[in-house]
Amino acid sequence: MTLLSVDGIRKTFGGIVAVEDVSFDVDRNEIVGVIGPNGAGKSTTFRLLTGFHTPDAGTVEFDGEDVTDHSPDARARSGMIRTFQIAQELTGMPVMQNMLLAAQGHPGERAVTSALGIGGTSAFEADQRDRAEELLKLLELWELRDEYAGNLSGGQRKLLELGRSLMADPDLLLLDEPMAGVNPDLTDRLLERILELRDQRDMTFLFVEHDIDAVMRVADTVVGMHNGAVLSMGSPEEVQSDDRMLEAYLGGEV
Amino acid sequence: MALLDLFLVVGIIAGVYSLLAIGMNMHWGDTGLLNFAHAAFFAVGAYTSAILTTPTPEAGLLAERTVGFDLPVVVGIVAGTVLAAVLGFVIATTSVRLEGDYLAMVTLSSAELVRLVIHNEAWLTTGAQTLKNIPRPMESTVATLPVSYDVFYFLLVWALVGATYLLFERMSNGPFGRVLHAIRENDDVALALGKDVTQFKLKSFAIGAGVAGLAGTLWAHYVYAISPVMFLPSITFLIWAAVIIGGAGSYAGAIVGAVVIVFLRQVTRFIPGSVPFSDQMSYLRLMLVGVVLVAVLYYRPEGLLGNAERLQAGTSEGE
Ligand SMILES: Nc1ncnc2c1ncn2[C@@H]1O[C@H](COP(=O)(O)OP(=O)(O)OP(=O)(O)O)[C@@H](O)[C@H]1O
Ligand SMILES: [Mg+2]
Repeated sequence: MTLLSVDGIRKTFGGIVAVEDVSFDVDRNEIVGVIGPNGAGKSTTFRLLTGFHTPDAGTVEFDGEDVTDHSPDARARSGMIRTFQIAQELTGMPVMQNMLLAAQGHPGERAVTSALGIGGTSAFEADQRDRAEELLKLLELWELRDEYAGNLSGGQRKLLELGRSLMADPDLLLLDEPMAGVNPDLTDRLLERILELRDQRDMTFLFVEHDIDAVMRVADTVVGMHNGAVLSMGSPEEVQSDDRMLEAYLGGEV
Repeated sequence: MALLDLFLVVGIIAGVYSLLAIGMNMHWGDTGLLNFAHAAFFAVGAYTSAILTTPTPEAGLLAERTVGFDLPVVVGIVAGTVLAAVLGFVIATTSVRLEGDYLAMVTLSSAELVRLVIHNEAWLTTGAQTLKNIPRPMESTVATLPVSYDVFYFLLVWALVGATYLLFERMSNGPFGRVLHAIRENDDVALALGKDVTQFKLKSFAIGAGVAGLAGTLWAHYVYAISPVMFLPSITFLIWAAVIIGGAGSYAGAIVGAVVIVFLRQVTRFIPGSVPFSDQMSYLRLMLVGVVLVAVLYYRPEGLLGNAERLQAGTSEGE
């Protein structure tokens, strides 16, 4: 069953065509990898899907609904959570608070319930802390839970961003180079975790990654982009052996 | 005895300023919103409560005002608070979606607009003249007690400061404040995590404006008589100074900053007229606040009670 359906989206910046007529579908429970050389339009596509850019043309459908005009926060609430290529953790907030911020439907986020501590605020908060603890331990950030996120290393920031997005318990998780700067051991464990979440929590993943090995290991489908367009799409093996992709990476004209 | 009286007066003013600073801290300290209309919220609270609690002036008197409602003071205080909050909400609606600078400009011009309305709508506000005979709450009851009215009002104001402080601390340290802090740092992160950023900013702005309105009502009912010159933009500047000196983001700091500012202002009032430049004293007094502000920013950029660690973490680059 299709969870995300992208149809003919296009985005230009001045004279630059960043994304050109991109269409693809993501099925529920699928793991889709997006690859392509620098400047191929991968991050721009992510921003179009999550509402941070409005497409010049084309539509985005999520869970059977046309969300093309929906704001980024509305899309997030409907179950589509993204991470940023350059980790955007809140530097002036401790690691644990960064995690708790991502909780969805928190009753304490209303001013009155927060001020008076009513409406199940503390029980909900305690539950979320347990969830955060589990994730932080997995990401090897538990010891740093009270540290300001601004004091983490680059790799740790990417991990925190991944953890925070998992806290939101999304249906579709869009990860922009989640493994960049993360050590190989941990990368392996995270990939296993992604597979686990897909099976246990019924999650769907769309991720951009330059680490081709990682993509080959977990992706069911790979979308290869170049110059703003989809060049090749199919199983990891098909895309990897597609000569056009090879040329794109080697910088040849296609 | 005279010293105690002076202490009470200065203390009451400091309490009113503390409430103003608490409101501003919600805007700037917690949410990162630039508000230059605080004096207007203060004025709306004061005038609303004054108009609602005074009787209709008799025709033929000097006063040009033709309306008055003679309602209980409590009604005036609640209405002044709510109306200031509503005004804050409306002002923020126009520009909170845009970049921060637009909100700054809109608040700046809205404040001027409010001042003009108060100045020109004499039928409602007595215009440039003084709106007099604003009742003091429970004055006759307090008169039967062995304490002066100032003691009572001092306790009333500071009880409200204490209650407001506790509520705002809880909001700021709770999940609501967490979202505001996220917005202060990075709108995009809050959006990506499904927070309705506009809604949170509007709430923050309305709540902070409401407290400024509350401060205005308390001011009006203490001083008996108000006029537009009490609500000049310099109040907004002083409150900004209070929040920054105390440490943006800290409610205890906001109160400390307000007390420091009021103390500085009141102490310098008693400098005798014979000293040089005494005719320029009001400017010099404002400048003194500026000098203290610069000194604090230089030696303690996070403010007296601000969180240095947080600011530091914000600037480090990782790796
Ligand atoms: N806001 C913007 N303004 C102008 N040009 C932009 C903007 N965002 C992206 N571009 C351009 O669009 C093109 C695609 O950029 P994008 O960031 O989507 O690439 P990418 O595939 O994510 O690359 P990388 O692998 O380096 O992250 C680039 O040429 C880029 O310069
Ligand atoms: Mg990119």
